Amino acid sequence: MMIGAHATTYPLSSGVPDIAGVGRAGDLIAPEVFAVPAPLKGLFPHGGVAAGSVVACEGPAAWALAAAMVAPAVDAGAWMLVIDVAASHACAVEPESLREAGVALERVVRVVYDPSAGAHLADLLIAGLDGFGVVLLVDPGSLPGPAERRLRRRLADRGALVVVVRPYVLGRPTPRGASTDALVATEVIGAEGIGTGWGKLSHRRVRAASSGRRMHGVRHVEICLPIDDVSVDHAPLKQ
Amino acid sequence: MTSPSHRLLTLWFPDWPAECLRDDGSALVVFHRDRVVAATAPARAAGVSVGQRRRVATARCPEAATPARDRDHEHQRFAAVLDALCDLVPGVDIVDAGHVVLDIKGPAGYFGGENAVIDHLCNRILPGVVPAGVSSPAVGVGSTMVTSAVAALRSHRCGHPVIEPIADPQWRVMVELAELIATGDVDADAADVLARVGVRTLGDVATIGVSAMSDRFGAMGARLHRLAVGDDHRRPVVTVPSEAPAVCRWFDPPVAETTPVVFMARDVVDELLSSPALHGRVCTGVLIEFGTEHAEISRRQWSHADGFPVTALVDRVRWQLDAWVRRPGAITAPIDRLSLTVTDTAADAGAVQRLWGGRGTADDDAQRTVARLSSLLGPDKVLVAEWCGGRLTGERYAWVPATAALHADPERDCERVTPTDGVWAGAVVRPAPNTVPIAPIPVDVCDADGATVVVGGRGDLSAPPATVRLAGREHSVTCWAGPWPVTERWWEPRRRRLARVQVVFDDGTAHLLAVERRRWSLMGSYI
Repeated sequence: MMIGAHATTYPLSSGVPDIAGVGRAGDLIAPEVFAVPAPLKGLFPHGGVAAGSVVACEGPAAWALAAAMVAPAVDAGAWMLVIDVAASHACAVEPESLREAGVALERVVRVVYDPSAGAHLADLLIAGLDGFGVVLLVDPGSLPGPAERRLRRRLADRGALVVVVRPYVLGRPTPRGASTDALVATEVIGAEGIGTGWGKLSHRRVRAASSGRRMHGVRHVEICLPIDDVSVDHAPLKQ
Repeated sequence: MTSPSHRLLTLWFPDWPAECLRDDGSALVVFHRDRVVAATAPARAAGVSVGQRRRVATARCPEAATPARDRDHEHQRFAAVLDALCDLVPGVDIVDAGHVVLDIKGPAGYFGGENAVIDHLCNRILPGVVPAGVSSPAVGVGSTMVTSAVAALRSHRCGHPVIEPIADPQWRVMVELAELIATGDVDADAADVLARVGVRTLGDVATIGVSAMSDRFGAMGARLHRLAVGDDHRRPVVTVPSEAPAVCRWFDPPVAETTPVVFMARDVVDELLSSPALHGRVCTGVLIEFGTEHAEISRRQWSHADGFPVTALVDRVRWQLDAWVRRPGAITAPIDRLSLTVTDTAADAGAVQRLWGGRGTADDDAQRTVARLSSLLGPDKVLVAEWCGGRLTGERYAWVPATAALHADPERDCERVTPTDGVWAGAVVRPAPNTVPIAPIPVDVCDADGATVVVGGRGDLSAPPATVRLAGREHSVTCWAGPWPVTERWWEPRRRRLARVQVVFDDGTAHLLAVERRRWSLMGSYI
């Protein structure tokens, strides 16, 4: 299946060899996917994130999971655009954490977007998709219908991946944000290396659950973040 | 062979990036990728020199200010010098802000010799246009670009102009390869290999032969051999050959703002650099020309030894345009024309796609998109990470403008982000927080009794932290570690003494907190 004729400059896996168990007629042709680290493979029906899709991450480990998810694609040669919306949050992505997650930092470009400056976020995203295979941004909320349709068309043309991170505040429900193809919710179930007055945080044990359109139900995995080995497992997915 | 009738004068302000920032005579050091690129006289007197690591430089001159490099500002301040030089000499080649090459054959005849030109330049022209606080330039004259640059380098060392004698090939063959490292004509590794086999001067290189140099060092070796035998055709152009690759764009209607011109420039640059007329070579010299409805013209020649990437050439267009529109009375009508003409090319040694790694179409697409985003949002809004080093989270990497720091060469981009000096003592490393606050976010850290937790002089906590009030909400602490005290710049008045503590909240989020002068703040979040 030819998705993203322009996107072949970075490697995409052509689905999975073994699609038994997926069980739906529409999946007989496996989509092009962005490979993900082996521990995250179980979150996605084809062993990776479908090219041309929008994936949202939410919960107390959303940034760490998003960084781990995009690392193999950037490591394989795709460029990543990180969009910081200046007005919506007061934090910036720390480059060192991206590097630790396995992201090739030399192919990361950060844009500071100021909504009051005039340019529309959708235009910025569409311009960014011309040259970047992966776009990572804080959830901007829902986009106007025509802008979202243009964005979707460009995303499908380019076969790129957009990852939105939903802001997390303890005790507050996550606001409904941009329309996405998949949602990965995170829950921290433990911290490793740190106690009460001793040690140092080394990892967090996280339970991640994916759901959404074409995800065929809810899938769960338990992982340690940051992932020490971000290598991609090319073995067939066991369903 | 270069015609002996050409005489090139290199005018070089070695510390322009630092000296153009301030004129108060204070110590100031400018770094690029953690290495010194320029320093003011007080800093140099304290032992700071170009190429030093940041740690060494700050130890030698702790009182020096270390502002971020601002290439836009450098070119803005240099514009007046350029205007004055272009009024004097028709052929001026701009290598960088503070570094130009002039063809002075004509002016030498008019003023009565090369010494007279130098005297006129240094004593009459420059004093009126060089900003206060900038030291005297190095001036070198040679028959080729490389000998002229070496003469300027020697002038910087000895403090007076250096002139290569006319028709004296001995001067050229005695040029040392170590000097060519400083002028950028040979890389340090190749010069080191050559020195170890006894090849130390251009004369030695000339005796080896071009085929041997090409076999061992590739395009760089062949180029070095050409320099050794005097086959250096680079020079400022006065008349551009009609067959030179060029792209001209007319604005209809003419535009009165600079932003659309810069935006259009990206397309023009793309078209020029992908032109089949370049025959797979890289553009190392370009003539940028703007015109207005009133026939006012801005014309500048720029050169780049490694070949212009798209972003670098768009930057040159922007710098030239900014300088032109800021010059009082220079422009009285909207701009109706932009043209770019290739004046010099070189073998494209670095753009060949390699089997593993190397530059691919994804890199080219990204470069073009970065140029476009920079035009849309402004160059200060499109950033890439650059390693700086340090102990504190958020300081180890800096976000710098992509137009200045992004290269067409993947290896150089890797160097930009690769830690060069290992882990600093006292740093809290791995895992790094995922996000860091843009502005300090104060927090309250309290013990089980509700009292604020303090860190004592011995680096111990008054009580275990039980709750943290962050962004108006109170969180229970389930795990914590630290404190890890650190003293930054203990040797000077601006010293900082702080302690860091990791806390894990009951929701699973973890945070790195810092306490300084008994005030707690958020340093980063693991989310």
